[in-house]
Amino acid sequence: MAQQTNQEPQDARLSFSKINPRLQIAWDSVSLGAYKKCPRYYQLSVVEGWQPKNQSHHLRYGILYHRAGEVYEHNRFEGKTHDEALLACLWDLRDGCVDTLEDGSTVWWNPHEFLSEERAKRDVKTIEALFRTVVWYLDQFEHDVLKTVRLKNGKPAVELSFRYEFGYEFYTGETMLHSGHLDRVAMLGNLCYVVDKKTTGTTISGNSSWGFFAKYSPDGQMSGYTFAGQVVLDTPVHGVIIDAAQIAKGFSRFERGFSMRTKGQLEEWHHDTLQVVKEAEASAIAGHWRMNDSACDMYGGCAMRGICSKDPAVREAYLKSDYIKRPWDPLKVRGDI
Amino acid sequence: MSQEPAPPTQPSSSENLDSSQEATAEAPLSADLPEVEVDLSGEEDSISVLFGGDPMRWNEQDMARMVAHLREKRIKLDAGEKTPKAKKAAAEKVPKEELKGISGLDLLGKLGLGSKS
Repeated sequence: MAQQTNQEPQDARLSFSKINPRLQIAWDSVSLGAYKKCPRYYQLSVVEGWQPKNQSHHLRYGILYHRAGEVYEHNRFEGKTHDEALLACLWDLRDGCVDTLEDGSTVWWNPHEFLSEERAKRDVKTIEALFRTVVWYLDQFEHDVLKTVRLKNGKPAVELSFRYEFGYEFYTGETMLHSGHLDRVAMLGNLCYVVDKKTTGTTISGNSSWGFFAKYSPDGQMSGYTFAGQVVLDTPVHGVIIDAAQIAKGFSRFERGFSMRTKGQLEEWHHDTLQVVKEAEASAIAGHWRMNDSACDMYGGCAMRGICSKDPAVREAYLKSDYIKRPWDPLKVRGDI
Repeated sequence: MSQEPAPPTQPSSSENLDSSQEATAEAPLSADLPEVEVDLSGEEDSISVLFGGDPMRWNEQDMARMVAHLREKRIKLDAGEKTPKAKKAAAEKVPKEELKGISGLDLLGKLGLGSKS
């Protein structure tokens, strides 16, 4: 097992087995996608929870962007006007962008803290851009054709955490769960869709529009959301509407695309997902996650390439130097407003 | 270790949707900004100061000013207004008409990228 690091997985995570702490019980799209891409990438990023320092801002940025929409929807459902709800969400966003220093003083979070000067210059994810994107998005969709579903408890179906039994029992006797978070569930006419928000630095308009949305069919995340929407809400869900925001230097623009799923496609996804999880179970039993070295150069280069390219004996030293631990836990609930 | 897959069961959420909700509006699904190449990064200055100080000192006026600034900026974009940087780039661009009937070498010279010997 020379390829493994000596780092033990985080025992406290609810999504992992109590019997074999390397065995993931609750699976979300991030974990499934990671394993499909490369079992070794899955081991490092999900089982062990390593994340490159220079990419650590993406998660917080995304959470803040999603939360802004959630706060807005809750305020609209409470009867607030667009401007009132917008202001409420911006104050909440301000709070989310604040870091408290050791001396108790408060400063704006610096998303570029771990980026080189050159990368920071090119990176568009600034606090100003986040506020701009939220204001422009909510202004643009003030009179949205999509109507957020009202749950039976009266709350809007936004940032909806889900978990349900997927129909498989691990060797430990524990039941596999499919879990995750739906950004929003909405009606378009009388059809129900999951709405998923995406941010991107690349253009989503003009000639490349088809290309941007085409990558979501097929796509495990979108299939999983459609499947989960049907199970959890007990209603037919026709697919996912992707609410894409292009964040650029000086402007943001938005576009929507569809990622539809048929019953047959969803059955296929369910079957394939079980196969992936069974493979991951075998890896967890063996304590070995193979490297898929044909994926290292995809998507602009794997985030773990800097580790896997080193001799196994020195990998852990590089992990501790250039990566931070942020254990992924698919059972962590969102939507607690 | 492995078992036959069974259909998914037991949704944990009791928050089923109210299926009586229907959308009636007929607004366009996507309302894009006009296709203009812009870079307004230089115009952030007036609002950047807000993001430089103590975030907890923001007051309602600051927030309102920021929202107004962002909305005004968007109106300018919608109107197709270009930033000083984009205007400068446009001014430096050689009109197409002027390029008709000239050789590649002439073109390079016109663009300041080469010289005729």
